[in-house]
Parts: sequence; structure tokens; C-alpha cells
Amino acid sequence: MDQSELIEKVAKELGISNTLSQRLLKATLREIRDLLRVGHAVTIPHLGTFDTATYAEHRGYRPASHDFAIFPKRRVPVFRTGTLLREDVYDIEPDEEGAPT
Amino acid sequence: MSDDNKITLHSFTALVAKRAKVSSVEADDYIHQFAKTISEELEAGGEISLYHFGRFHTTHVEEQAGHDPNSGEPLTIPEHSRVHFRPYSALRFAVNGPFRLLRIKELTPDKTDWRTRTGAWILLVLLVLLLIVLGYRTKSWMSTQHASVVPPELSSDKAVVTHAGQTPDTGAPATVPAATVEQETVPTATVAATEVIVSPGDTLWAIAATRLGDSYWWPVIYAENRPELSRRNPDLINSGITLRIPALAGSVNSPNAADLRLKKNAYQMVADDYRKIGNPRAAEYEKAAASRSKE
Repeated sequence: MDQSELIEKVAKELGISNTLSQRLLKATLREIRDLLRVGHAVTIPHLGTFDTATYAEHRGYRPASHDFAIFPKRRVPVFRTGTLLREDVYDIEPDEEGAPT
Repeated sequence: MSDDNKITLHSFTALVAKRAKVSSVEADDYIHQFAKTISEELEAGGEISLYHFGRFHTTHVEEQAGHDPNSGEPLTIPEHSRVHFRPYSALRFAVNGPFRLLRIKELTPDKTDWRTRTGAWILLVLLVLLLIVLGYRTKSWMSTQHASVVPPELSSDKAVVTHAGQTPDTGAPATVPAATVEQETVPTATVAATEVIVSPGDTLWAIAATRLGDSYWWPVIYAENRPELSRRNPDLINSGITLRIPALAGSVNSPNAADLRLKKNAYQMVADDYRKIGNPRAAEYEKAAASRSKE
């Protein structure tokens, strides 16, 4: 599913126009991006958490040239799946103690 | 991982509503529906690509052995699917903004990486061109210094006198460039012994060597003929004119007092003429004349 299909589907479910749906989708994604840029974390209910992780300067292997190099400090976006989504996608029935790991 | 940087759903909804210029209720409904739609698609096994943002997809995990983190006893994890999010580079660059100027450091520096830079090659070519031009100009400057390389139409007009940098008062052997000593004996044999016709390529230095026996006595010839030489330049004499060779009371090897006085006056005259035309050799000849007067 790509972006236009998502826009149409959400617009049909909510009964709003495709234009408004697209505007809201863009606003959501850009808001998430801008919050991640300043280092905040955003939790979307039932979906998961968008967060950032900072990797310190480290020595790493480059398979293309078969050598090691010092990689600089960097910050990457990470997504942690929410528990509800993870259970839904897990595809097997949870046992009686609760959610499977 | 810490909670201090988390944004509540309420404030996030308010931000989205402000950005999309809708009410926060609509934005809240939209965000929930957005998450629900994505969840349904992922449950159905599909994937979602969001432009300039990222891609949600699921992977299948095989059955594997694990252990209970609480009791430590082994258990078998059944096969299942799990959700991944792959951020696209627009999002990655935005998040990595504070460290975007950092670069990978090589553990073993590559000494040949200058070859891949265009600026290094341009500099190299410019340096080579500069060296070529400098060499060419040095060569042409040297060729103007040597009378032997003067073009024929120029040397037929005037003969250039070269001294090759010798100081006139030292007893060093006179090294005259071989090409400048082109003394034509045939026409001078017909005229009187005390006169010489200057031929092209002839120099005062060479005439003094052949006529007087010592090149260092050339200022005497110059002083004798100075009234006829309109250039007043000891380095330039016209070819074809007749020079008078002064008769010495003694000889060059054993000069008497009158000859030495003649030589001293000639050196002084050459020094004066050099100074008039701005030739730096004037100081040398001045010094030579002064040392002669001391003797």
C-alpha cells in the first residue's frame, strides 16, 4: 500500500475528502519528523513509538572495501512497535498467561 | 528510552491540528484511524510506504529456542511475524542534523586519494606550465647574453662585446667564448699594423688579446678610440670601423710607468662610461682603477 491508497482508505473510513486526508497525513508525518529532529519521541496509539537513538563514535567494518573505519557519532530514527500491534501481527493465539514475547 | 522527551498524544494532536488548520477533534480522529488502517494492512501481511518518511513492513521469524527471562528455563518460541519500520533517507538526514558534518575517519589513511581530486591535477598542470614558461624565459634571456647566438642581421650591424663576467684586475686565465674570437686576419693584414678593422662578431676583448697580447688591456684601445665611438658604450662597437691600437712604451708583460698610467686612465674612463649608461660593472672598473693608482 502506498501513500495515495492510504489517503483514500482513511478518507473513506472517516467520511472526509481526499484533500483533507492528504493534508492531515502530511501534517502528521511532518510533525513527527520535526519532533524527532529536536529529539522528542512521539507515541501513536495502537501503532507504536517513534523515537531517536544516538550512536556514539564507533569502530566498524565496511564490507565493500573489507576494512575497518571509525564511524562518527550519529542519531537515527527508530520505531518501537506497540504491544497491541505486535500481538495482532504475531499470528498465533496468545497463551493463557498473556501476550507472547 | 527515557520518558522526559516524550510528547503526550494530546499535545501532538494539537500540533497536527495547528499545522493542518483543522480542529483537534478531527486531528485526533484522523490519527487513530491512520494507526488503525496501518495496523489492518500489516495484519494482512502487506506493507506501507510513506513518501519521504519510511516504510512499514513485516518479516517472518522461524521457530527458535529461547528462555524465559524470569525463571531462566528454556522454551521454544514459535514461528511468527514481526513489524519493522525502515526510515527513508529524508527522515534519517533530518534526524541526523546535529551530526551531519561528521565524516568517516579512515584507520589507514589512503595516500593516493589526491588522484581522485580534480583540483590537485589542475594545480599540477599549472605548476608544470609555470616551470616550462620559466625555463623558456631563462633560456631566451641567456641567449641575449651570448653574442654568439645573436641573429645574423643584428651581428652584421654591430658587434657585441662580452666580458663573461671576469673581474679585470685578477690574474685568472682569460676565458673568452670561442665564438666571439672570429678575428679575420685577411683584411687587417692589408692595413697598417697599428690599426684594425672591426669585423662582425669581433670584440674589444679579442682584439686586445691578439694585438696587445693581454685581454685585460682592452680599455686602453677603447680610450684611444673613444672620440670616434659615438655610442659611448664600451660594450657596443660598430663593425666595419677602424680602431687604432695605441703603441706601448714597454710591453704588456713588462709595462713601464707611462703604460700603467695609460691603463689606469683607460679603466677610469670605462668606469665613467659604464656609470653614465647605468651598467653595474662601473664599480668593478672603478675599483680596478683605484688599485692601479695605488701601485
